[in-house]
Amino acid sequence: MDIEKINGALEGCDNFLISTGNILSINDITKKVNLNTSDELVDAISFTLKEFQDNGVLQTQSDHLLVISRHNDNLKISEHELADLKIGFKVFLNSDDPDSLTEAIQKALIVLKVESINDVIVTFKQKIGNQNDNLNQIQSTWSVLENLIKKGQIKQIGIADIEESAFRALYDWAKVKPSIIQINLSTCCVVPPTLQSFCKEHDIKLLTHSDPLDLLPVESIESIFGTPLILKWALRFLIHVKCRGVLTTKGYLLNLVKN
Amino acid sequence: MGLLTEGSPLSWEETKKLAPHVRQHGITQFINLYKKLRDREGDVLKWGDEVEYIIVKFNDEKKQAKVSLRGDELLTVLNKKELEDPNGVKSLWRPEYGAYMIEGTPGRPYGGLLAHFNIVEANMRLRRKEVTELLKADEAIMSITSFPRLGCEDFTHPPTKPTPDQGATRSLFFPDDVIFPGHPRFKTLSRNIRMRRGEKVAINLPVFRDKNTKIPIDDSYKHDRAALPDHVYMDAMGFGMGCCCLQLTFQACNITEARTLYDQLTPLCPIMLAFTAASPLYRGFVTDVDCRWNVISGSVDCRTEEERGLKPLKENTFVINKSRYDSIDSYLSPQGEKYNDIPLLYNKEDYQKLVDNGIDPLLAGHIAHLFIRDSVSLFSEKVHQNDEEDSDHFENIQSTNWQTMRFKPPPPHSTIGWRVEFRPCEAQVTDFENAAIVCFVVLLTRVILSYQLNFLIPISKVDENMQKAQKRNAARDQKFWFRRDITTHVSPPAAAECCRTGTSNCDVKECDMFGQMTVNDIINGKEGEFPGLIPLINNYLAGMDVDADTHCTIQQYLKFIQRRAAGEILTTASWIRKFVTEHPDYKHDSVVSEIINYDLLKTVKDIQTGDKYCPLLLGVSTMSKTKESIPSALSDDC
Repeated sequence: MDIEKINGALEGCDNFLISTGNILSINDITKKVNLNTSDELVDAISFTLKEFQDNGVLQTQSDHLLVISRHNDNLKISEHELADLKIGFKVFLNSDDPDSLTEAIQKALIVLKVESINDVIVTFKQKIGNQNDNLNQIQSTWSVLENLIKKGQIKQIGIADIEESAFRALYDWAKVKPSIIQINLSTCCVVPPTLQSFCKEHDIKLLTHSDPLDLLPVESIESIFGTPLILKWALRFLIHVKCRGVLTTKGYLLNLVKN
Repeated sequence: MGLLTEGSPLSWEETKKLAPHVRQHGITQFINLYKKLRDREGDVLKWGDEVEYIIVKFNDEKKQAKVSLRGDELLTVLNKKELEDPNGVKSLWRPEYGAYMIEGTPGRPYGGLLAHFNIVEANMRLRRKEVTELLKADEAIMSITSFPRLGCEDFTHPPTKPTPDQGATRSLFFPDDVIFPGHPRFKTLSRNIRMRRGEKVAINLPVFRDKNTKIPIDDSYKHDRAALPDHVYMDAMGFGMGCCCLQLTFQACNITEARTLYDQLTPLCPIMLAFTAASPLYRGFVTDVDCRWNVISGSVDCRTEEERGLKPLKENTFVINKSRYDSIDSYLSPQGEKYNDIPLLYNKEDYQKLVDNGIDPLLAGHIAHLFIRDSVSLFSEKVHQNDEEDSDHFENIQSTNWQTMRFKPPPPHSTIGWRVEFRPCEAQVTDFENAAIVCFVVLLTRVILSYQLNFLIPISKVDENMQKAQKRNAARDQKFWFRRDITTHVSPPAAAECCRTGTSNCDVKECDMFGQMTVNDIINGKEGEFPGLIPLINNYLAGMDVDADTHCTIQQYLKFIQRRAAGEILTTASWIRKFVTEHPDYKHDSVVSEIINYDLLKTVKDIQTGDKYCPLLLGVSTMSKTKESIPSALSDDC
């Protein structure tokens, strides 16, 4: 990777988005099957930067953010009726700043050119522990999600990597209850029975994931960009064809800022 | 197969006379179906498995195990439940060729949620339980591919005798009374196949040569010219169609997707056959093959001597290379067209009629090719049909082309869409294994569609693989032709070059599109060469919403498949071989005695019920989280 060239492009720009587009169409990623989420993301970013450089098209969004994206990417959304697709976001937050969450979701809706989606799951860089006061960390972001539900932009909301007691506290507090709890699959075979019955009782989807808490460690960022940028948020979009078990689109959107 | 309509079978002479009638109307019926349904769109994923079972009767005192000819009796009870509550039953039961067999499917198809993978095994268990409740204490329902002593003296309960000089089969070994008696179809097929062929079917499987194996292995060769002295000779349809298989059918969203999946799964047929190999024993002998495939193929081989190329063509039109039970001869998708490198036989006028009615050459060739086979079972009530409304003549030929894959048009007047059937797998001992294999294949179809993978290789190479797949220990020892680069988004220059020069003349090494791989390489991947089917599935799963229980279950299945592919645990065939050859009563003479047969089947029964722990066959963990129903929070998604 030609770091200098990228830094050239980034010069004078201290806040930019990387949009990987649909990584299912990147053969090299499909073939490298044993990647974990972080490695896959690093590859996707590198690939995006390379294609961006090769084609050198500068794209900006309304707020003049630089968007680094892949040329001629096919998100495949137009190949289907929107009603047949299930679009889901997972937002990886670095802080409890509610604006990050709002921004992430709004940017992703623009990238995908859709007005509403099915579900959003949020996760924080630190696992949300047992103490109830951890709830404070979630409340401000959860309110963002509740608003989006009210506006009809999202149908279901959920949270990942949260201890059972904090989840129950969230459930009790929330105006719009979580429909999804996502747990890391390494522990899935020993889901606490109390959590299982809680989910069953309240019709909550107990889903698994394999994402690390720190999606993109600082070392990875440095090795890609040659400079220690800060990841404000990352968002993964997944698009399925409903009732057919077909995944059409998978991609990431990241907001990086200079120190 | 749906509930069979009863009727009066025509004699072979009448059936033969009506062959052109069936062909003509069958093709017209397909054309009418096609015109109505080619644009059908938007069907969701629905799928189901079919497991065939053998009813075994044990005699603990005499240490004997026999097939129990109670299929018809059991079906009467099971089908009554279905008639009383067609939408409520959790399983459906159908007759199979053997009077000792039954076939079970889920009451309703599974759907397009991953959570459906978590109810497959529970349903299989339920099916077994349902039948077990109807059995006597000394009987068991077993999903074994072949009964080891089928066709040996006194292998049935109640006792039956072969009738070599009369009846439908005229076998030295397989009595007509062992054919399912509840419907005339099965005996009629046996008779007509024999009569069309002009002689009994003949299957010769090489015997496994152990240090005390006597050659000739028995005196079959004295009775039948067709018997090879160093082979296990079998002379009846029952030896093949009396085997059990594990099949699955899935609905595609439209005809294009169905054609894609039909093609993409074709190269996987031999791989899955080798992987599921479960039948090394036939007619009381240890053979040198691990699979049923060629046995069934030979058991319904209705080709005349002319068609087999043994005599110059006079009465018949073609020399035909394969039995009507064999691997497919052509791909159906545009992507597959260039890999159709074996000649496709058909009647020109049939093909032309299909093409003239707007059917593209690939599909027209496929349908016309199916119709090179004559009807071998026709019922008087079904001769005259309304070709606009009925499809029995088409189904008559379609359902007696028993190939690795089946491309199924929607039935007339139904809500069912275009479907594809995957037919190579052998039945495994436990519900866990059968569920694992079924889920693995359906997951693969989702991965193929999601990543738009391409597994195609020349169809002649698939045929080559089919033969390799059946060899002893093929899952561990054989190398199969397989495509190296299965991604499709960019075509590397080498591939383009290869396609330009035509694949049949293409030097595989030069163009590097296909390589020789073991089952382990294909399933688990090989560093730097092939990603592996399981890693691809795991990648796909990481992008899907999977609930915790389903995730665990799928992981158990995938780990089991990984281990078996890696050779860490044995294929069913290898395990059976090991059991027999290490049995104290085994005399290293390739003979499966009554007592070995008894002990083997008892052990298999204990493994399938979970009473016996068998890590050698199953690995250490076979505890899935399978459940009878899907959590309501998830079921709303679909």
